[in-house]
Amino acid sequence: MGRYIVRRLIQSVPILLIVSLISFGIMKLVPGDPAIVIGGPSASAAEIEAIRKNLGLDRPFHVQLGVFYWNLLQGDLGRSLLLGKPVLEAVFERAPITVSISIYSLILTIVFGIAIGILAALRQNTWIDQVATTFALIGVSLPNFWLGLVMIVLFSVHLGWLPTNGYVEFSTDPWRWFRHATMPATALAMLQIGLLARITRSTMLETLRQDYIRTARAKGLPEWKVVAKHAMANVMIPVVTVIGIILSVLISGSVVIESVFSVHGIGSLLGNAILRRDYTMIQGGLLFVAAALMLLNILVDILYAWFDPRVRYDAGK
Amino acid sequence: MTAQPLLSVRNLRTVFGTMQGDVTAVDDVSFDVSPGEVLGIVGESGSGKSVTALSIMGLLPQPPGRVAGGEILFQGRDLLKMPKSELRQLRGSAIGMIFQEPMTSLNPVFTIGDQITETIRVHERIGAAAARTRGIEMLARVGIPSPERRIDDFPHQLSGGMRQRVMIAMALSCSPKLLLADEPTTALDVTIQAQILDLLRDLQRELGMAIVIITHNMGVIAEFADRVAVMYAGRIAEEGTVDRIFDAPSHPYTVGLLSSTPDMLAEVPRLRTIPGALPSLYELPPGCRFAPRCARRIETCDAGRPAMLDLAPGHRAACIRATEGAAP
Repeated sequence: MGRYIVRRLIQSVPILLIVSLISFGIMKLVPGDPAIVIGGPSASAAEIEAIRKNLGLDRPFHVQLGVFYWNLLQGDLGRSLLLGKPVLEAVFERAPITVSISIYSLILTIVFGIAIGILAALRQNTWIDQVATTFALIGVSLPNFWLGLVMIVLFSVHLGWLPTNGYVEFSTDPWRWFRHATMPATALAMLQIGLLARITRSTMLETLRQDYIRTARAKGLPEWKVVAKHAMANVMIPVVTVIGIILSVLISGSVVIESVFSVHGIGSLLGNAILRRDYTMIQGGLLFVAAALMLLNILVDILYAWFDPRVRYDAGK
Repeated sequence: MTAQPLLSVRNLRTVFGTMQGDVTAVDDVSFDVSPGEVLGIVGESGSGKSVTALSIMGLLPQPPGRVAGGEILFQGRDLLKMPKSELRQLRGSAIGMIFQEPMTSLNPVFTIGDQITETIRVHERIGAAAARTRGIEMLARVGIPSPERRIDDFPHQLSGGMRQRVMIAMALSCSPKLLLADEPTTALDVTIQAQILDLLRDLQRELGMAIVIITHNMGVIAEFADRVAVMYAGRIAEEGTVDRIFDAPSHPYTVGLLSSTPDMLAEVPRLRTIPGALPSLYELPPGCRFAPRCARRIETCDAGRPAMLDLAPGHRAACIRATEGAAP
């Protein structure tokens, strides 16, 4: 198991290299000069040239790349052109907001997605199954920003239960955090709950047909144990893989949902940076998000190996 | 038979609901198994052998399957009328079962030790350490080398023959009175088949349990069983001691089955087969279900279901011509 983790970590180095190259190159390839944006419409050609020189944009591509990597190795992602502070600092300021909403959303997804899926499978072809499957289909079909807006209209404007926008740190006041984070997290989770429920349902139905389930019943195990132990342990293997994918979708989905609820997390930070061509911010932010996703995926792979001894042992060889 | 049978199946009828209506997979099947006796149930694929075993265990896939009639008396009590929880307690303790597919019958994500000990612990008040010791004993008993190490293996680390040994260890871990063995050797290599049969026979003598062995292989029956019931299209065609059935088969289907078994001693140029195929359960012949394939068919065969005729003590056949003497 230890060797498996080390191997996965080593495998991630070249991926990180490629991602960093893309995040550096992509801003060089798109048209539009950040110096013009920074200088503003009234800046003269000489002023713009000065800004370019100041940012090092006048140097050859390979020199810029070299400087980028040299700084990266020292943990320096550069300074945001617009915010005037280090990119990493800005990212670390905003990341906790996105992370807390994403985790909240992930917990909702896992709890409801798996529960609905299992319930539907165990009550296959009954009204419970019908309701659960319909709910899952609706969840998959609704765009989350639209759902966010509808929730604001319903729960904030009409019912007045929850605030329309803003965010409070969990550490500051858990209850107010809960009131602020619930709608964005739910809006984000809805689609994923539908997805996970459908996959859990079909995997559970498939698993219950397996020979080893018949064996478990033939051994005289109570039915709850047949399902909770023998079936679930096998259902979790594909489900964990899907949860890994869901996690990355949740994080990218937060870009839109954060702007719907005026929450200033990583999503809105990057969104603004893209709109205003803050290229150091975009570079650094992309790299940060990519690295975070990669780590999460490694975590998912480790979980996967933990659930499936066949993977664990093949990897250990 | 004077002693009370351990298992007595009376007029069992098991049906499967399908899009085209119910089909009867097991139709009015009756047989007894005495304590310590080995009964072989033999027949082609689709003759209802496995469905009979699953009906006894209460493990029919429901829906579409269900027992539509009859009684299954185990130690005098009807398993079909028993509360589900009581039947569950009998499964794995008094009645064990092993299956045809050793490769898929063990749960891939748990160690074999876990799967054996959980069987013991669900039926007996016994600590984890004691259950593990018993598990190791069982593995040793079924011939698994270095069982104290192997008990922590996962199924994918074992060969098919080893997995079937584990299945046997699991089924016998609570010393059942009755073991249902559904094609236990079919999926294995020929050399392993013989080993597994020897093992089952040794354990059967040691533990004094009764076995119902389901197979399509007459060789397995000859080697292993005391009595045999031949099934055809959901019904029992003939039943008797192995000696009687092999020496004086009375139902033409049994005769066909025996003559389509390769004989090492006789110099037969070509293996004989039974012409035709098992009838579809949707379109069963009106009278004897074997009639369309039968060489001895006469008009009355199609008139109605042939009654079971007693030919000798414990030897019965469902053929109206059975009493006419030996079949050709």
